[in-house]
Amino acid sequence: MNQDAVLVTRLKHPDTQNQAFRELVSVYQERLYWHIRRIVLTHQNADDVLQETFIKVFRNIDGFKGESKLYSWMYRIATNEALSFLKRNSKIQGISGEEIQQNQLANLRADPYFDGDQAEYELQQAIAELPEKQRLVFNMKYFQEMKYEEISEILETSVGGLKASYHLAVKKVERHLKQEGIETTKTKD
Amino acid sequence: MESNSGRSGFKVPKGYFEHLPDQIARRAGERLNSPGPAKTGFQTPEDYFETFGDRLEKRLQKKETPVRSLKWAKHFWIPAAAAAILLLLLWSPSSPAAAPEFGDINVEVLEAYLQTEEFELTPSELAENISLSDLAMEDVLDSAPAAQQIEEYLENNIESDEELYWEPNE
Repeated sequence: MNQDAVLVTRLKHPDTQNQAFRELVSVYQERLYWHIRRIVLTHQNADDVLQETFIKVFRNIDGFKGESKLYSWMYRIATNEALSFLKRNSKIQGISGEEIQQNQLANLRADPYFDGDQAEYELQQAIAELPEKQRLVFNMKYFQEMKYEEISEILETSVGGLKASYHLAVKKVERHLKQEGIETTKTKD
Repeated sequence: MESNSGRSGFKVPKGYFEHLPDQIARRAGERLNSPGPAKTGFQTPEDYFETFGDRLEKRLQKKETPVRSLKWAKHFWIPAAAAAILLLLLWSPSSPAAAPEFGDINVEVLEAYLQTEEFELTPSELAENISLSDLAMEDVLDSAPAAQQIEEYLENNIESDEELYWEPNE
């Protein structure tokens, strides 16, 4: 039985679940945080979504059958939570998904936990302009250096489709940065 | 620098082996939790990850044991009575409300409703339900799009990028 399987068994058992949950949070909190943060951008929003993600994991662990890896399952929940958060916000404010992305970027400027320079801000701007799927793939591949096979399991998309998405995303990001006069080093395909 | 006990003449910095496990653990942690190869400018508050677990636990406990205010039960009769009176007034047979007709519907309100509500219909399902013969190009487009515009639209809006890369022989 691998470590994840042991952890899942302990999470499902009432006597051990609290301690196991603490361990789970400790192991995955940072990785999930950074994944969520790149989708919702500001720290405050990332914190809300991260908490919701772990609460969902805790409540639904009984339904986890082990058909995918534990971290893939958690990443999927985190991704869905982050995207739902953005959609909910766009509905509440009565604006489109593109507009909510632009609002998120404007909020990023005021976020005390962002100290990126102009180039880093422009990179976020370029990423925000990507369609949802390409944005996710770009973040997971470029920043988190995940393998296509791992992303495929999380997003439930074929490796071929992911490669196409990443290729298109890289081209658009490079085009955007070039237009802004920012030098880019060749992004790996 | 401290002298190595071996005879090779190689030396290690003072305290090197004492601090080595911590250094390795720290670097392993950095690698595990690294935000990625590029600098992003994103930061977190100090001790955020150290305190996250405790805050989450508190929130989880709060969600698990919802407390219902006793005041609510005590004053329940007030909104209940208001609701009953309202129901009686609306239901009175002496004031029958005229049945709404299609012409009464405000088109702008209807359009806003259709745009904001989620009907969980995919573009394909919508297309299936609206016959092409009922549509003229002018109904949906102001002018014919150029090839480049179509290409950009497909790049930005198509559900799966795989569809852009289909092989005719597949």
